[in-house]
Amino acid sequence: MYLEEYINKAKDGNFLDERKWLDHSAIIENICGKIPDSKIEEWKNFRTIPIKEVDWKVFLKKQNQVPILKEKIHTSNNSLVFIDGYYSAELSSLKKEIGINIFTLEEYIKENPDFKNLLYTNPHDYAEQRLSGYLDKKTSYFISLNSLLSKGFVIEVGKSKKISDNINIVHYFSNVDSDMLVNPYVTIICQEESEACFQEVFYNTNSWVNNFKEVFIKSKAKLIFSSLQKKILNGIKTSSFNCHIDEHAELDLKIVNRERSKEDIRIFLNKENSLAKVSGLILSSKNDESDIFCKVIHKGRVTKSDQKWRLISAENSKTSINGKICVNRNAKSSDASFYSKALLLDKKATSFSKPELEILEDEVKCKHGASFGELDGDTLFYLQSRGIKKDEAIILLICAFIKEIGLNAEYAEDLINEFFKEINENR
Amino acid sequence: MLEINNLSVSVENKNIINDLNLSISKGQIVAVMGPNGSGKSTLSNIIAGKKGYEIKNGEILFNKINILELEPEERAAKGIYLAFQYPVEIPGIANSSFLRTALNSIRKYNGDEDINTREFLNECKELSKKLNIDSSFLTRDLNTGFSGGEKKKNEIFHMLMMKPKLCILDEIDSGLDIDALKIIAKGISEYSSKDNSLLMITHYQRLLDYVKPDEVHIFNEGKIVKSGDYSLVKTLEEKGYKEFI
Repeated sequence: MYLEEYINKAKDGNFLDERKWLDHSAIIENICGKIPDSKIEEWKNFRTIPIKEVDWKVFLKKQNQVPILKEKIHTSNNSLVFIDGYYSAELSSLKKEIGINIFTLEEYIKENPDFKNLLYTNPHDYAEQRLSGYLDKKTSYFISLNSLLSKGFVIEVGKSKKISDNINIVHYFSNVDSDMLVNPYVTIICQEESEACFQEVFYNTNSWVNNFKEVFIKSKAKLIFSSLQKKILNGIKTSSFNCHIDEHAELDLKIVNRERSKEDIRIFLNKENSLAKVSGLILSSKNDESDIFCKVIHKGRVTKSDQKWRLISAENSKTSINGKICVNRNAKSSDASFYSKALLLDKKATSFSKPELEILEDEVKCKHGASFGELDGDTLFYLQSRGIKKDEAIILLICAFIKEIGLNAEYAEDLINEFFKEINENR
Repeated sequence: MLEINNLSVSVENKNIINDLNLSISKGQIVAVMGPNGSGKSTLSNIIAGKKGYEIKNGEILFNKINILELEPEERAAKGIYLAFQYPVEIPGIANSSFLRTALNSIRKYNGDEDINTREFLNECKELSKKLNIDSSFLTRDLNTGFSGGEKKKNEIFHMLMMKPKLCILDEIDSGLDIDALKIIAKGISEYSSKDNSLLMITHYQRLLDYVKPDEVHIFNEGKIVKSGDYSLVKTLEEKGYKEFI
């Protein structure tokens, strides 16, 4: 098997060298053939048939990239712009003194050889251990696909740097061919005692975006990370987010997942007193699916995680969240929670929430809850009787419904307005 | 101001309002009293435009315009305000922000500009003082975690801020202690004028001791069974509804 062969070689430690002998089409053929389907628990709510049906071509920067005019890029200060997964220094606007460094993965490993050992090279590390004892590697094939085909970039927040400004990571996609596979691969390293706030935005694409982000939050560092999807995709997005958190370090992750998108989140609370707050909005319309699998693994003592999800399904669509909390042995005094609330806007809309707990240690606290509902007619009448139009009242109620996630209020309002505009256009 | 002519309404083939005739003039205070299940709250919902009722016959004229075809928000914009018996809780929307949105929606409908934020806040502040309302009331989420009395005070607070032409108070006095009742009555007195009309729906006499109605109607099985002046309230208190139904 090609992938197995690669992994075995990579495990020998020649990670970068191994890439030289890679054959893109063989990788795609090999991995796409193994893409998980609805039989796999983590993927049962996301149709992968559309991925399997296409003869994907690998996106190569020089061949395919259509020049994007700088004035078309909507960026603000402190923006890191990626075009088709490639960092563009020319289009980015980052003040040097801010304390953030950008490297290619190759450059970074050259300067920090030990970092190679932390990188994703082995699907076994991320594979799902089933209760039957079977180790399911299928769940990690998308990461393998990405890391084998993509060069990778590293964003490093320097040691003890406290960055008060918001840093924008903007992904644009220039390719127009719908059979292109793009693999943005970004590694974020927050060095000890640093603090930073990133907001990542994905713009529209026609193709398949297979995104992979690996985040390392070192001791006493704090990262606020928002991953937002700007518009409904015409293509497909699969995304993997892995985060490794050290002692007294914190992650505050906010995520917006839209139609035809699947996000696989794995958070490892590796050391004592590490903390992860995850909140997200899962939106879907038309006949599409929007699905998140989020697994938080408590490995260290006194670790804490908190998951808050809001799901909104319109028309014939489906939203889903599978939130798994694993408390490993030795993770005493851990505290974990998962709550989801789903709103169904139409009769044919569906939603699925599955909190799952795997507790292997005593003296831990774990809470979970999930609720589903429709917009309440009495509440809507209350708002209308105060003079607010029905459409505006619905948007107001939905903004209130998602408020607890803590998205930027202006962004949330625009998002919901845009969502309803699309729905109304379909009607 | 409000004229209900031969109104018959049903829900799931059950008649709940039967050939009702009721009129409220400009500046008039009218009380509708009746036992549980007599259709009082249904009447207030129908005037405010709640969906789910089948209008079999009749009309509701507000300032000579039939409002039955209008959406609830259009009726509100024309000056009809319903103070709810059970105000809904909406976590995630601040009370003041909701009120400002409502006011601006009505202003927009009537071709007016948005309310000036400073003026709005000053007015809120003055009014909350008058109604003995703590300033934190405004920043809290709409009715969320409010006590029963606070919710009713908030309904009166909204009424005074929105300055409707006709206010329907649906059992605004239910569940209130004496102090809260006095504050509510003070708010209603503040509102009532020669230009504003009030329809008070209630079970009891106690609110009507503070706000004296010009007309009292006893309601049963979706129609008026007895009409009179304030003295009817006294009779009702002594003899109960049995005497009239």
